[in-house]
Amino acid sequence: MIKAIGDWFNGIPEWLHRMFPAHTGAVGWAFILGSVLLCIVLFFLAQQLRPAGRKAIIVTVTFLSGLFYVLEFYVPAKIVNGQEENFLTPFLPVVSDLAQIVAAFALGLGIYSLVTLHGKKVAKGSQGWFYSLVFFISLIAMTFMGIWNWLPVHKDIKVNNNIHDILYLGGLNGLEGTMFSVIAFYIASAAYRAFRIRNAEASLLMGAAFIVMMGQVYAGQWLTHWLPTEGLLANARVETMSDWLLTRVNAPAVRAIGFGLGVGLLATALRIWLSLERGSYFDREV
Amino acid sequence: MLAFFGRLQSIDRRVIYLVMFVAAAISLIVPVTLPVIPSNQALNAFEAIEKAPTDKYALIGADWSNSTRAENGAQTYALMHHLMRRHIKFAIVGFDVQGPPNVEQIVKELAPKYGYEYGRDWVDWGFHPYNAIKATLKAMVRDMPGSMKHDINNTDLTDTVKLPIMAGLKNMDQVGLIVEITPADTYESWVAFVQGYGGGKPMVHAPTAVMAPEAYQFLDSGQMVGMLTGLKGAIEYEGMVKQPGRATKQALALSVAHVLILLLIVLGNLGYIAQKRKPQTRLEDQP
Amino acid sequence: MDHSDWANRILSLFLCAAILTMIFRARRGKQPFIRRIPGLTAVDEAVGRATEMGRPMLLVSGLGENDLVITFQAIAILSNIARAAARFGNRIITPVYVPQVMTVVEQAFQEAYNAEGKLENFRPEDIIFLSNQQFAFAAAVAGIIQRERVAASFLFGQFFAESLIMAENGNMVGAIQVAGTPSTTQIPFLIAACDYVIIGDEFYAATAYLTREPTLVGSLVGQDIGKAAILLICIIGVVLTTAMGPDNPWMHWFNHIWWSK
Repeated sequence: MIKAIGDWFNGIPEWLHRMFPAHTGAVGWAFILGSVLLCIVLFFLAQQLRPAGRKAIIVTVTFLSGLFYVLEFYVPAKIVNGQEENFLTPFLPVVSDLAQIVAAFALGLGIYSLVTLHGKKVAKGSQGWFYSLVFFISLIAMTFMGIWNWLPVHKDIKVNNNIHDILYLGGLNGLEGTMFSVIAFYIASAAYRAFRIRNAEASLLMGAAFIVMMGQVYAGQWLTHWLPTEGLLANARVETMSDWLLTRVNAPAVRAIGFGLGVGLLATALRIWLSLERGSYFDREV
Repeated sequence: MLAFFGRLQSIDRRVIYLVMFVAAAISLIVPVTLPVIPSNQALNAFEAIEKAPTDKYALIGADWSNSTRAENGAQTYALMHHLMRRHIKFAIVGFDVQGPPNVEQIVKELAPKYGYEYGRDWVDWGFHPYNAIKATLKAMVRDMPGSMKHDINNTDLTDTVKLPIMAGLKNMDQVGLIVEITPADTYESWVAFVQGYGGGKPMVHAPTAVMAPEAYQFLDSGQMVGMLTGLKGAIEYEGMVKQPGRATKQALALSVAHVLILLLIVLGNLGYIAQKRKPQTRLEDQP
Repeated sequence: MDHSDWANRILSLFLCAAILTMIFRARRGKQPFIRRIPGLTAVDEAVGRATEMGRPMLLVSGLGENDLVITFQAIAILSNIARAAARFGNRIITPVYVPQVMTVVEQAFQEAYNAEGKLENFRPEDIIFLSNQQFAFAAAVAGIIQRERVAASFLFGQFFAESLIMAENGNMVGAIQVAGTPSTTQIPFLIAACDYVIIGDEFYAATAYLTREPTLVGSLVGQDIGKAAILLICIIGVVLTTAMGPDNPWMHWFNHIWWSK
């Protein structure tokens, strides 16, 4: 009987493919449009629900989504065609596709949120509206050039490539690199301000930081380059001491914190999966 | 004298920024190459790629954006030189939207030198959403054409005429090496869902220097075989593959910046000690 | 690991059982003790100071796009801070990195204001999605800090290299800063730039500490039991391996059974 249930379950992907075969052309577009309309209707219906009703749907969907991965991981697997597999493993690509599609919605959500926010600023002429206008110009220019240059007919046209390079490599690349490099200056001022030898622990911290930093650069390695590379004295080389601190002091500490964080993450995930969190996420009517 | 040292602990931050800027700028202009002693982690990474089987494929995790081009870009250059020199075929996949195009740009630059051809020797599976990374990797290890679907040019991965490399790359059984280049925490998902497959695959990690301390535990456990730590790792690797590039040119600036920060810390502490030693005026002694 | 082995099954089952048991036990009225967490006792001080200065507060829920569990935990902590802000009538600005949690943040903060009876003071326009690009977000937050001259800054959640940009800008404007993150690599930067930092596990304990909600307190105790069990296993493993040696046949047999699927 168990085998019969397993066979029935394994037949579900094939049944789905038969019921919903892949369509192309006009029929394919009709299916996409129909799906969008269905989603809009479902969304509208969901909006009419009271918070208790919404919570019931959220709790059910959350539980079932988590249950799939829990069962897929914990149910014992057998070797099938050289790979570990249980009755849920064949569904992994389908669920992965679903997850990626839902994740991709975030892109649209983000753009909608930004356009709404900055659109209101420009429309009302609020303080800083000019920067909102810059946002729209940047968004439209980058999107247009990215898609325009990607089309096969435009791919090799030099002007398009140059404009794309100016916007992407010159603009975006430069701006992101600038923000990252600003950290170097902030580290200098933060380290200068914060590292004071106030007590024994602070002194120990200072000493360790000094050794690790010097071990990362030639200037530090030069200080002890005259020491032999093997034997007892090799342990006094800056890069050796730095390596020891990172692998024998830092790594166990990070591992220990990681254990704690892992258990904490498990507890939080468990509470979310079983909807044990109270007081938020549509729990009460506001 | 004590008063002078006391003022050292309150240097205006703008002065600090200016000194740092001038020091780094001069270091970048001056054409001095510094010798570097490779770390054990970089040496192990080099050995892992040197010993990687050429009849298997490498997976390249392209998870860095333009902000970390100085570190991750330099690491990518050095690693690609080595992989291509050994004629190891590879597939690129990324969970940062800028990652695959960035790595692809580097590969295209180096490909003519090593005779690498797209579709035959390398393939780019493109970007996949970061917030579905776990689901994507879990599906990818079992069925790469099925989960990745198509490459960056929208060619179906089952089309082995246009992409002959995919004829031999179906799942993790055909993968002999993982190289993950990232400034973020994507390496945790790679370790959890990809590296452990089939008893464990060698994984080389190339993080930014800031993220490196967290990865040492994986080196210790053997889940990672080697690591390139930020720009220093890139410098070391360029030296080992004998392809000095932009990272090697930045070695002096890296050294100068580190020494400057240490100097500032020392000055600040001198000021702090001087402040503590300053004789305190008692209330009854005041006029 | 593609599928679980018996070691993982048993350990996971034990951890989940410990957590769930303590949750239900706490719900039945047995409230365990939680030690003081200094960073969190500073929250009221920070909110009070912001009220005195008449300047807004900044609440950042981190960059946890991959691990939304951490972001949800951060939102839970920040909603308690929002409740304190509502009580004092202080304005809060909340930049959001993950677009799909914006509605969650809005809902959580709305409930916080409602719980204080100050729903009319809630400003949804102060909950802003800025960007889901790391440094664009950091640049925008730095700009908000400088323009608004925030008096208090709360950085909770997952952070990467950009944490120092936000923390240092907060320091520049003289804001009191409280941070909490499970990202171990960012802890040194936050400690250098912030006034109070909640490290590692305390991040997950924060909501339990602030609310004393039975579910959360019970969960915290369950976590501690789990960690104690892991520590015990590590000690037993070290003692046995030291005493018997890793090549002992009994060790091989044990490993074979333990790691089997």
